Amino acid sequence: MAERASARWRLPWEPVALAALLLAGWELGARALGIPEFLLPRPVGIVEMMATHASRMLPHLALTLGEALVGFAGGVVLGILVAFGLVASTFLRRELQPLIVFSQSMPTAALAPLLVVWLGLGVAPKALLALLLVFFPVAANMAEGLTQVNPDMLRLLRSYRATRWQTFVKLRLPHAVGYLVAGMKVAAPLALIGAVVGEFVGANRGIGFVILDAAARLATVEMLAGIVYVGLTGTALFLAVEILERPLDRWLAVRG
Amino acid sequence: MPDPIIALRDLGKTYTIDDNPLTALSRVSLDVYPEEFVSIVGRSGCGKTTLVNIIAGLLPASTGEVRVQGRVVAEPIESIGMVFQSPVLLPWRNVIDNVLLPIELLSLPREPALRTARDLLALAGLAGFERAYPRALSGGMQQRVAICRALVVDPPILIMDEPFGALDAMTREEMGFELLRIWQERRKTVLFVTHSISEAVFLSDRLVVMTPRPGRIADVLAIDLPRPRTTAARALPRFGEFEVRVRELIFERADG
Repeated sequence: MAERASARWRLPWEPVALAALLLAGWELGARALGIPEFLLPRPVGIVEMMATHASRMLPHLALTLGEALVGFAGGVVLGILVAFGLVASTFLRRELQPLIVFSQSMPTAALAPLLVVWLGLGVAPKALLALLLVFFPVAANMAEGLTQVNPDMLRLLRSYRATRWQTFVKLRLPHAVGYLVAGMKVAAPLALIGAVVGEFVGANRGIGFVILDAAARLATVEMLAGIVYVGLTGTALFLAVEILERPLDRWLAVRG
Repeated sequence: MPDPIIALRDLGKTYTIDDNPLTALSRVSLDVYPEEFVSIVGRSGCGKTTLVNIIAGLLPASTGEVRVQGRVVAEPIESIGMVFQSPVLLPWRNVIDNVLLPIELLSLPREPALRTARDLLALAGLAGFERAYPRALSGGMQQRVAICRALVVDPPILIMDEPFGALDAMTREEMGFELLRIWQERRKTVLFVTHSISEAVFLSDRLVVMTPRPGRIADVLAIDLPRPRTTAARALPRFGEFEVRVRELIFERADG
């Protein structure tokens, strides 16, 4: 454990090397077989497109990222509140659980048109979709962190007649921090997906709109350039939460 | 003889599992006197842990009563400090804050307790580790912190439920010495649950042997070996005789 704390972050070269190998195979294979670029875009073409169209695509991407972050923040707050509710009351647990599972079983993409009808073409429906995707992993992890406390720790607190509030503040809440961060890590890329799906359905801006527009023109290279931008941003979000995680490693020690 | 600090009268505990009553404890009566070191040995399922949980007020008895310092125990009381098999330190608190947890839970003033905590840590050989976090400590050191935590409110009674059960054999022996040293310095009444017969003989003034189904006291042996106990005590013929006697008591029923 002590080693983990002192281990310095390093570039994960293995996935980079693997990706480079796959991309090289893709590029060379497509060239050798003479597959036309609009059918199978090649990595070099995609990267070129990302570079040349950066000034057009990046503002769209920034908008999408903004929508995702708003939805992410809202989803984290809602997730934490739902977890408190689930843990605080057996009644809520019984009444809310099926609803939550139902909300997660609905295809979010199919819900998107309705949200656009309700909320228009602006930021709101995209952020709301992101929120819907984010709150569940956050709530599930947080609830687990609040409840999966070592029974001996509870016995210890009880031996000092700790009140429910003391048990919550001094044990359950700090115990849940690590679980919360784990949920946030899973949720961060989902927020971006929610925003992009929202843009697919009704938008005239955002990277999802750019991708859909390119698809309509069969501009496959442009389309993939947009998709890669989204993928890179999602990865960056995941890493951002991981950086946030580092100073918290005392709290993460309890996470199984 | 002084009044007993712990008095058990006809204690019984019956659990109901799938509508079948299961007698965990039956007619347990025992007096423990101030500053005595009393061990409870017996095989798994003989009700040792049930017994100490009842004495500590963590579990209601089905029949009989527990008096600590003359008063009937109905809920956990400050005059008892508990040490469990696992140290159950809170990983997000450093050593000193872990030791001070009972002070916070009981809303006692922090400043005088801080000095007590430092003194206890020094007594347990942990001076200089006040700001360390639990995961940086070995299992034996963590358990010493747990002992300091149990002593920080200066309870006259220490109940230890297999406190060294998770430690390796050598650390375990070392911890036995440590415990005797602390016990002699602080003059506590210790109720010590263990699986280890030689540990129980080595540490105790009196040794309570329990047998299972239903959990009851088979015999109480007065271990009149000289104190302070040193490693040489284990070589005394009396030591071996006590061990044999305890084994007979424990296995007698199992064989028959």
